[in-house]
Amino acid sequence: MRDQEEQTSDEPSVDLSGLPAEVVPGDLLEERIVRVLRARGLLRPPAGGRVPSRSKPRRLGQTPAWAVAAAAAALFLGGMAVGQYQGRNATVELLAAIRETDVADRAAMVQQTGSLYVTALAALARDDDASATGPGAEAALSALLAATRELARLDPEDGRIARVLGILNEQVNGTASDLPARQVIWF
Amino acid sequence: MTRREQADPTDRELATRVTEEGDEIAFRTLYRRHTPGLMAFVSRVLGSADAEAEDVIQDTWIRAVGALERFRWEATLRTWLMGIALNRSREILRRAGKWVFDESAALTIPVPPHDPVDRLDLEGALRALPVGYRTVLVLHDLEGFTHPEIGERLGIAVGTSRSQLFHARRTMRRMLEAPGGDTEEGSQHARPRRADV
Repeated sequence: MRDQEEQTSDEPSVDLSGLPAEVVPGDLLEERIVRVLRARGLLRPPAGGRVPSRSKPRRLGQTPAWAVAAAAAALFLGGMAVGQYQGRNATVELLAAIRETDVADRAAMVQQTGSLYVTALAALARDDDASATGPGAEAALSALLAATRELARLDPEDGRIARVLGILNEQVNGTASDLPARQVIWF
Repeated sequence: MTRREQADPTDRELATRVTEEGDEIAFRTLYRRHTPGLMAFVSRVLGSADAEAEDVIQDTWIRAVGALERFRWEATLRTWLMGIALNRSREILRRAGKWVFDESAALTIPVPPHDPVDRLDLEGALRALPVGYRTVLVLHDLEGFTHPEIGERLGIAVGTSRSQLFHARRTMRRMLEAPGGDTEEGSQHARPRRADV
């Protein structure tokens, strides 16, 4: 486009090399544009609804509050079991094993299933296709709510669990007051 | 087709897939390839918040996809997209009464703060320029357009483009100079002053 000769001696130059050549827009812009183009019949959704994932990593600051709460609770549920599960039990085998275990073994089972849950969620989080991850996220949230309710029954006086349960109830049911039958002491 | 071509299709190949098949994957590839550069360009021309720039980017892509079939590939896709984005940005600035290229107009230029630590950075200095200066500077020094090309795109005379660039560079230098620095102008203004236009 431009020749060096075009610059004249009376044009004092400014070093603009420090300016970034690119600025990444918000994550939602692409989806917004695609939706408009689809609505106008200019684009057709890909077969299977899969879109290429973006290489940009997700940032916690952009994650919805419920997802942060869910992730925190999932980590709580998984706890120190993360990394212990070595893939030797398929889900069906694990469920069968849970039914057959005695009380002493059930804590270990909670650790293993918590680890499974976290691993599955981590795999889901690596996919940026909203149409594919949406149902998975919903299922994860429901499972999390159910698990947290059981936890609250296990220890009604644990304020941390009660707070997580309140947040999850609000997200799933639109109410923070849907607490388990047993009394929960807030502090 | 080579492996490289399969992995990294050209803009034209992708555009053909968009126009002929409505291929969303092809569109997303084009979008991700060109939008960060467009976003930087539009943000600088507008000199405003990201939200406004994103609206321009959205309009740009919607207009571009609608007109892609008629694009003759005499310029690069990036240049064509920048042209659309520039037109849209001009509409916004004109509506806001900010699209001014009048060299005789009195323009208030921010002065550099006394504390060198707080000196305006490059981006801030660029944003502080009057829109005419800023647009020509961005098009010429950052995007590599010639003065005739800028004149054609902005609807101004080539001489106007040259003088806007001259003043833009001079104003930028003043804003970026440290007060009390080597140059004669940087330390002389404690209050906003008028640009020498």
